[in-house]
Amino acid sequence: MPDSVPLTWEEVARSYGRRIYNFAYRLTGNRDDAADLTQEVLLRVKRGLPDYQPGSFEGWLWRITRNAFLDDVRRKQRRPTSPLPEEVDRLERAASPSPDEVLASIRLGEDVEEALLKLPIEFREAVVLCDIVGLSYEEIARAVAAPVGTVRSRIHRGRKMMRDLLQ
Amino acid sequence: MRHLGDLLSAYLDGETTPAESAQVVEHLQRCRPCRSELDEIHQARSTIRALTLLEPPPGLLPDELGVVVPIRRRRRWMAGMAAAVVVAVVGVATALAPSDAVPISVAQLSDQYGARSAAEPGVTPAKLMVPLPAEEAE
Repeated sequence: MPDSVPLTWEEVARSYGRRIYNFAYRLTGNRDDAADLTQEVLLRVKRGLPDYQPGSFEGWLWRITRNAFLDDVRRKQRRPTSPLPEEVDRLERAASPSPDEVLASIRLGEDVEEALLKLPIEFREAVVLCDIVGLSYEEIARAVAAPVGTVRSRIHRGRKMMRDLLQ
Repeated sequence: MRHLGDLLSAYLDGETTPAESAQVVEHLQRCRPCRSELDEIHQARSTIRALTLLEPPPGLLPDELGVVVPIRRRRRWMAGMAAAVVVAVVGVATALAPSDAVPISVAQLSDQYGARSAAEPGVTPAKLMVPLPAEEAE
Protein backbone atom coordinates (compact mmCIF):
# COMPACT_ATOMS: atom_id res chain seq x y z
CA MET A 1 0.00 0.00 0.00
CA PRO A 2 1.43 3.43 -0.87
CA ASP A 3 2.42 5.35 2.19
CA SER A 4 1.83 9.06 1.87
CA VAL A 5 3.51 10.58 4.88
CA PRO A 6 2.61 14.04 6.09
CA LEU A 7 5.76 16.13 5.97
CA THR A 8 5.37 18.10 9.15
CA TRP A 9 3.91 17.46 12.57
CA GLU A 10 1.41 20.26 11.90
CA GLU A 11 0.11 18.27 8.96
CA VAL A 12 -0.08 15.17 11.15
CA ALA A 13 -1.97 17.21 13.73
CA ARG A 14 -4.41 18.56 11.18
CA SER A 15 -4.94 15.23 9.44
CA TYR A 16 -5.01 12.91 12.43
CA GLY A 17 -5.53 15.15 15.47
CA ARG A 18 -9.25 14.56 15.77
CA ARG A 19 -8.82 10.80 15.52
CA ILE A 20 -5.94 10.84 18.00
CA TYR A 21 -8.08 12.85 20.40
CA ASN A 22 -11.03 10.47 20.07
CA PHE A 23 -8.81 7.41 20.52
CA ALA A 24 -7.29 9.09 23.57
CA TYR A 25 -10.70 9.93 24.97
CA ARG A 26 -11.99 6.38 24.59
CA LEU A 27 -8.87 5.02 26.25
CA THR A 28 -8.83 7.47 29.13
CA GLY A 29 -12.54 8.24 29.49
CA ASN A 30 -11.65 11.81 30.35
CA ARG A 31 -11.51 14.94 28.17
CA ASP A 32 -8.62 16.57 30.02
CA ASP A 33 -6.53 13.41 29.94
CA ALA A 34 -7.41 12.98 26.27
CA ALA A 35 -6.20 16.51 25.50
CA ASP A 36 -2.98 15.93 27.47
CA LEU A 37 -2.43 12.63 25.71
CA THR A 38 -3.05 14.19 22.30
CA GLN A 39 -0.47 16.88 23.06
CA GLU A 40 2.01 14.27 24.20
CA VAL A 41 1.45 12.25 21.03
CA LEU A 42 1.98 15.28 18.81
CA LEU A 43 5.15 16.08 20.71
CA ARG A 44 6.42 12.54 20.13
CA VAL A 45 5.46 12.78 16.46
CA LYS A 46 7.39 16.05 16.20
CA ARG A 47 10.44 14.41 17.76
CA GLY A 48 10.15 11.17 15.83
CA LEU A 49 9.20 12.42 12.38
CA PRO A 50 12.76 13.20 11.23
CA ASP A 51 13.71 9.56 11.89
CA TYR A 52 10.53 8.06 10.49
CA GLN A 53 11.29 5.34 7.95
CA PRO A 54 8.72 5.04 5.16
CA GLY A 55 6.48 2.08 5.92
CA SER A 56 3.16 2.07 7.64
CA PHE A 57 2.65 5.62 8.79
CA GLU A 58 -0.63 4.81 10.53
CA GLY A 59 0.93 1.86 12.32
CA TRP A 60 3.71 4.15 13.50
CA LEU A 61 1.35 6.91 14.57
CA TRP A 62 -1.07 4.69 16.46
CA ARG A 63 1.77 2.84 18.13
CA ILE A 64 3.05 6.18 19.41
CA THR A 65 -0.43 7.06 20.66
CA ARG A 66 -0.90 3.74 22.37
CA ASN A 67 2.56 3.83 23.95
CA ALA A 68 2.00 7.35 25.22
CA PHE A 69 -1.22 6.16 26.85
CA LEU A 70 0.45 3.13 28.43
CA ASP A 71 3.28 5.32 29.75
CA ASP A 72 0.69 7.59 31.29
CA VAL A 73 -1.13 4.66 32.89
CA ARG A 74 2.13 3.38 34.36
CA ARG A 75 2.99 6.84 35.67
CA LYS A 76 -0.42 7.17 37.33
CA GLN A 77 -0.16 3.73 38.88
CA ARG A 78 3.01 4.86 40.56
CA ARG A 79 1.43 8.16 41.66
CA PRO A 80 -2.35 7.82 42.18
CA THR A 81 -4.26 11.04 41.56
CA SER A 82 -7.70 12.20 42.62
CA PRO A 83 -10.35 10.01 41.03
CA LEU A 84 -13.32 10.66 38.82
CA PRO A 85 -12.97 14.15 37.37
CA GLU A 86 -15.55 13.02 34.80
CA GLU A 87 -18.06 12.63 37.61
CA VAL A 88 -18.43 16.41 37.92
CA ASP A 89 -18.99 16.74 34.21
CA ARG A 90 -21.64 14.06 34.38
CA LEU A 91 -23.45 15.64 37.33
CA GLU A 92 -23.45 19.01 35.62
CA ARG A 93 -24.92 17.50 32.51
CA ALA A 94 -27.55 15.59 34.45
CA ALA A 95 -28.53 18.73 36.37
CA SER A 96 -29.25 20.83 33.29
CA PRO A 97 -32.86 20.56 32.14
CA SER A 98 -33.25 18.53 28.95
CA PRO A 99 -36.02 16.64 27.20
CA ASP A 100 -36.42 13.04 28.31
CA GLU A 101 -35.23 11.69 24.99
CA VAL A 102 -32.02 13.66 25.19
CA LEU A 103 -31.35 12.48 28.73
CA ALA A 104 -32.09 8.92 27.79
CA SER A 105 -29.71 9.07 24.88
CA ILE A 106 -27.02 10.64 27.04
CA ARG A 107 -27.47 7.89 29.63
CA LEU A 108 -27.28 5.25 26.94
CA GLY A 109 -24.09 6.81 25.62
CA GLU A 110 -22.71 6.96 29.13
CA ASP A 111 -23.53 3.31 29.71
CA VAL A 112 -21.62 2.42 26.58
CA GLU A 113 -18.72 4.68 27.54
CA GLU A 114 -18.57 3.18 31.01
CA ALA A 115 -18.74 -0.35 29.66
CA LEU A 116 -15.92 0.41 27.23
CA LEU A 117 -13.76 1.71 30.06
CA LYS A 118 -14.32 -1.52 31.98
CA LEU A 119 -12.68 -3.59 29.28
CA PRO A 120 -9.10 -4.64 29.99
CA ILE A 121 -6.80 -2.34 28.07
CA GLU A 122 -5.74 -4.81 25.38
CA PHE A 123 -9.37 -5.44 24.46
CA ARG A 124 -10.39 -1.79 24.77
CA GLU A 125 -7.64 -0.52 22.49
CA ALA A 126 -8.37 -3.19 19.87
CA VAL A 127 -12.10 -2.43 19.85
CA VAL A 128 -11.58 1.34 19.82
CA LEU A 129 -8.99 1.21 17.04
CA CYS A 130 -11.37 -0.93 15.01
CA ASP A 131 -14.77 0.60 15.71
CA ILE A 132 -13.99 4.22 16.54
CA VAL A 133 -10.70 5.03 14.81
CA GLY A 134 -11.60 2.80 11.84
CA LEU A 135 -8.33 0.93 11.31
CA SER A 136 -8.01 -2.41 9.53
CA TYR A 137 -6.90 -5.47 11.51
CA GLU A 138 -3.51 -5.23 9.81
CA GLU A 139 -3.09 -1.62 10.92
CA ILE A 140 -4.21 -2.47 14.44
CA ALA A 141 -1.72 -5.34 14.57
CA ARG A 142 1.08 -2.90 13.71
CA ALA A 143 -0.15 -0.38 16.25
CA VAL A 144 -0.33 -2.81 19.15
CA ALA A 145 2.63 -4.95 18.03
CA ALA A 146 0.64 -8.18 18.02
CA PRO A 147 -0.19 -10.76 15.33
CA VAL A 148 -3.35 -10.20 13.30
CA GLY A 149 -4.83 -13.39 14.77
CA THR A 150 -4.45 -11.94 18.25
CA VAL A 151 -6.09 -8.70 17.15
CA ARG A 152 -9.00 -10.63 15.67
CA SER A 153 -9.46 -12.52 18.93
CA ARG A 154 -9.23 -9.37 21.06
CA ILE A 155 -11.79 -7.51 18.98
CA HIS A 156 -14.22 -10.39 19.15
CA ARG A 157 -13.77 -10.99 22.87
CA GLY A 158 -13.95 -7.25 23.51
CA ARG A 159 -17.29 -7.04 21.74
CA LYS A 160 -18.57 -10.03 23.66
CA MET A 161 -17.55 -8.35 26.91
CA MET A 162 -19.39 -5.20 25.78
CA ARG A 163 -22.47 -7.27 25.05
CA ASP A 164 -22.33 -8.82 28.52
CA LEU A 165 -21.74 -5.47 30.23
CA LEU A 166 -24.63 -3.79 28.40
CA GLN A 167 -27.16 -6.56 28.99
CA MET B 1 -18.75 -29.04 14.99
CA ARG B 2 -16.53 -26.14 15.90
CA HIS B 3 -18.27 -22.80 16.37
CA LEU B 4 -17.15 -19.72 14.47
CA GLY B 5 -15.96 -17.57 17.39
CA ASP B 6 -13.51 -14.88 16.25
CA LEU B 7 -14.47 -15.43 12.64
CA LEU B 8 -17.82 -13.76 13.30
CA SER B 9 -16.28 -10.40 14.17
CA ALA B 10 -13.74 -10.73 11.38
CA TYR B 11 -16.59 -11.46 8.97
CA LEU B 12 -18.55 -8.39 10.07
CA ASP B 13 -15.43 -6.29 9.58
CA GLY B 14 -14.67 -7.69 6.14
CA GLU B 15 -11.46 -9.21 7.50
CA THR B 16 -12.02 -12.81 6.41
CA THR B 17 -10.48 -14.51 3.39
CA PRO B 18 -12.88 -15.73 0.69
CA ALA B 19 -12.48 -19.28 2.04
CA GLU B 20 -13.29 -18.13 5.57
CA SER B 21 -16.30 -16.17 4.34
CA ALA B 22 -17.63 -19.27 2.64
CA GLN B 23 -17.06 -21.21 5.85
CA VAL B 24 -18.97 -18.60 7.84
CA VAL B 25 -21.94 -18.65 5.50
CA GLU B 26 -22.04 -22.41 5.36
CA HIS B 27 -21.79 -22.75 9.12
CA LEU B 28 -24.40 -20.09 9.90
CA GLN B 29 -27.03 -21.99 7.95
CA ARG B 30 -26.97 -24.88 10.35
CA CYS B 31 -25.83 -23.37 13.65
CA ARG B 32 -28.34 -21.42 15.67
CA PRO B 33 -25.91 -20.48 18.50
CA CYS B 34 -23.57 -18.87 15.98
CA ARG B 35 -26.46 -16.99 14.37
CA SER B 36 -27.39 -15.62 17.80
CA GLU B 37 -23.79 -14.72 18.52
CA LEU B 38 -23.52 -12.93 15.18
CA ASP B 39 -26.56 -10.83 16.04
CA GLU B 40 -25.28 -10.00 19.51
CA ILE B 41 -21.81 -9.12 18.30
CA HIS B 42 -23.30 -7.02 15.54
CA GLN B 43 -25.40 -5.12 18.07
CA ALA B 44 -22.41 -4.49 20.35
CA ARG B 45 -20.36 -3.34 17.36
CA SER B 46 -23.11 -0.96 16.19
CA THR B 47 -23.50 0.46 19.69
CA ILE B 48 -19.79 1.21 19.97
CA ARG B 49 -19.74 2.74 16.49
CA ALA B 50 -22.68 4.95 17.40
CA LEU B 51 -20.67 6.69 20.14
CA THR B 52 -20.40 10.38 19.44
CA LEU B 53 -17.15 11.58 17.96
CA LEU B 54 -15.84 14.48 19.98
CA GLU B 55 -14.28 17.65 18.66
CA PRO B 56 -10.91 18.38 20.22
CA PRO B 57 -10.94 21.48 22.44
CA PRO B 58 -10.09 24.73 20.65
CA GLY B 59 -6.39 25.40 20.47
CA LEU B 60 -5.33 21.80 20.90
CA LEU B 61 -4.61 21.34 17.21
CA PRO B 62 -3.10 23.74 14.67
CA ASP B 63 -5.96 25.09 12.63
CA GLU B 64 -4.59 27.68 10.20
CA LEU B 65 -5.77 25.61 7.24
CA GLY B 66 -8.81 24.31 9.06
CA VAL B 67 -8.40 20.96 7.34
CA VAL B 68 -9.47 17.84 9.14
CA VAL B 69 -9.33 14.48 7.42
CA PRO B 70 -12.72 12.83 7.73
CA ILE B 71 -12.69 9.88 10.07
CA ARG B 72 -13.30 6.62 8.24
CA ARG B 73 -16.58 5.38 9.53
CA ARG B 74 -18.04 2.30 8.00
CA ARG B 75 -21.64 2.97 7.11
CA ARG B 76 -22.91 3.27 10.63
CA TRP B 77 -26.44 4.07 9.57
CA MET B 78 -26.61 0.91 7.51
CA ALA B 79 -25.53 -1.22 10.43
CA GLY B 80 -28.52 -0.15 12.51
CA MET B 81 -30.94 -0.96 9.72
CA ALA B 82 -29.14 -4.20 9.03
CA ALA B 83 -29.77 -5.53 12.52
CA ALA B 84 -33.52 -5.04 12.10
CA VAL B 85 -33.50 -6.60 8.64
CA VAL B 86 -31.59 -9.63 9.84
CA VAL B 87 -33.95 -10.21 12.72
CA ALA B 88 -36.85 -10.00 10.26
CA VAL B 89 -35.24 -12.30 7.70
CA VAL B 90 -34.25 -14.91 10.25
CA GLY B 91 -37.67 -14.66 11.86
CA VAL B 92 -39.54 -15.13 8.59
CA ALA B 93 -37.23 -17.90 7.47
CA THR B 94 -37.70 -19.70 10.76
CA ALA B 95 -41.45 -19.39 10.50
CA LEU B 96 -41.67 -20.56 6.90
CA ALA B 97 -38.98 -23.19 6.65
CA PRO B 98 -39.95 -26.81 7.25
CA SER B 99 -37.34 -27.15 9.98
CA ASP B 100 -34.75 -24.73 11.26
CA ALA B 101 -33.33 -24.14 7.81
CA VAL B 102 -32.32 -20.55 7.19
CA PRO B 103 -31.65 -19.22 3.71
CA ILE B 104 -28.47 -17.23 3.88
CA SER B 105 -26.30 -15.99 1.08
CA VAL B 106 -22.93 -14.29 1.17
CA ALA B 107 -24.34 -11.20 -0.49
CA GLN B 108 -27.25 -11.12 1.93
CA LEU B 109 -25.07 -11.38 5.01
CA SER B 110 -22.72 -8.79 3.65
CA ASP B 111 -25.50 -6.36 2.87
CA GLN B 112 -27.31 -6.92 6.12
CA TYR B 113 -24.34 -6.73 8.42
CA GLY B 114 -22.41 -4.17 6.42
CA ALA B 115 -19.50 -6.58 6.05
CA ARG B 116 -17.13 -6.05 3.16
CA SER B 117 -16.45 -9.65 2.27
CA ALA B 118 -18.89 -9.87 -0.61
CA ALA B 119 -17.00 -7.18 -2.45
CA GLU B 120 -13.97 -9.41 -2.57
CA PRO B 121 -13.29 -11.22 -5.80
CA GLY B 122 -13.83 -14.92 -5.65
CA VAL B 123 -16.81 -14.76 -3.35
CA THR B 124 -19.80 -15.99 -5.27
CA PRO B 125 -23.12 -15.26 -3.68
CA ALA B 126 -24.88 -18.57 -3.26
CA LYS B 127 -28.47 -18.95 -2.20
CA LEU B 128 -28.83 -22.04 -0.10
CA MET B 129 -31.56 -23.62 1.94
CA VAL B 130 -30.19 -26.34 4.10
CA PRO B 131 -32.33 -28.09 6.70
CA LEU B 132 -30.66 -28.09 10.04
CA PRO B 133 -29.49 -31.37 11.50
CA ALA B 134 -31.27 -32.44 14.68
CA GLU B 135 -29.26 -29.91 16.65
CA GLU B 136 -25.92 -28.26 16.44
CA ALA B 137 -23.15 -30.28 17.95
CA GLU B 138 -21.09 -28.76 20.75
